Amino acid sequence: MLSVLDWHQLDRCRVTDEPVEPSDEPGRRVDGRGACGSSWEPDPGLRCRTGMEHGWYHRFARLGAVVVAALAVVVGSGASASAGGWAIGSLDAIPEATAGRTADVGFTILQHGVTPVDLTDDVGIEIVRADGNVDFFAAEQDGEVGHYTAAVTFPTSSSDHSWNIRMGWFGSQELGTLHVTSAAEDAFTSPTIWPTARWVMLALTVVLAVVSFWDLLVRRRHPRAALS
Amino acid sequence: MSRLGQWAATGAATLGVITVATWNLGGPSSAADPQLDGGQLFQAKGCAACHTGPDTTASFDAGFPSLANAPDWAGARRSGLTASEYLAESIAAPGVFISPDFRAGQAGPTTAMPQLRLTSEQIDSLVDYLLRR
Repeated sequence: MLSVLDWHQLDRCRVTDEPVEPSDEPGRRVDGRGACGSSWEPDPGLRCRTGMEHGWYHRFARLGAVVVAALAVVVGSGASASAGGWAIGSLDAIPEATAGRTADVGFTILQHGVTPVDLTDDVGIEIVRADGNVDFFAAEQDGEVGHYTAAVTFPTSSSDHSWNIRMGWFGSQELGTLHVTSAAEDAFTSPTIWPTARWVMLALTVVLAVVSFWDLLVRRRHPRAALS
Repeated sequence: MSRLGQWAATGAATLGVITVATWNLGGPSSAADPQLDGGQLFQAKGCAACHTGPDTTASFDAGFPSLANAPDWAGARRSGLTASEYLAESIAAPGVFISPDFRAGQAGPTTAMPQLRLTSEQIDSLVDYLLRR
């Protein structure tokens, strides 16, 4: 691709319509073939006609130079914007992901990792399912500045998926692997159910132990009255 | 011992073994608890966005120290602090000591990392994860 400078060079060549005197001036050709003397420069006898025939080409060249310059400005400013515009998302807590169930997932967006920031568009939780389909759950600003909550419905299949926080123009942040458990598996390992269940089991163990011990005592003291 | 006594004794023994074996299942100290999974916390809390970790690469290079090989250097970073103590302090109170590996570049922050909302158990889990224990 020609740079902007190259395009200008072409343009200067085009306007050299007059025969050019040989010169010793640095940077000028001494063979009378024009100021540029590049391979693009036609012979003097053809120069004018060729320039007319290719007038459209040079107009496009000039337009191209403008477009390239504009793109350079846009890309340059965009790069500096993205360089200064970054944020992290931090979940309040990792939700219990049970297949098919919905849970509120809260998170905070911190610009530059420090400043909570309120965004309006494209904020939420994105789940990339194992089959490649993507579910997006938009979040609403909730409570403190920069805090959001999304009602996330987990996939119905209990397997590993990936998930991200979408943070508007800051882009997405990967949250790693989302392990979705089935309802049955969740019930068995649930931190809320199991503590109760284990105490019930312990109580049953004690009751059965007391019964067997009592039976043993009765047998020893009153062999005939013992349970049979 | 009567038949009832034998059944009760057998039941008590069996149930006792099951109860002991599954005592920690689903409890707050369970390894299955995602709240205490250091690897998940590292990503869910946003650490992985800035820091390269044992299993992840930072989302952007803005001058933050890599934590990929923390076991190699964390113990020597601050005199008087073990690797665990240093990492725990850096997470709980990041402004106390700024890592010499931190580069406040053009795109990077000018302050220390944020103080995240973590319980002491979660900090311990993160430290264990970073030290690969």
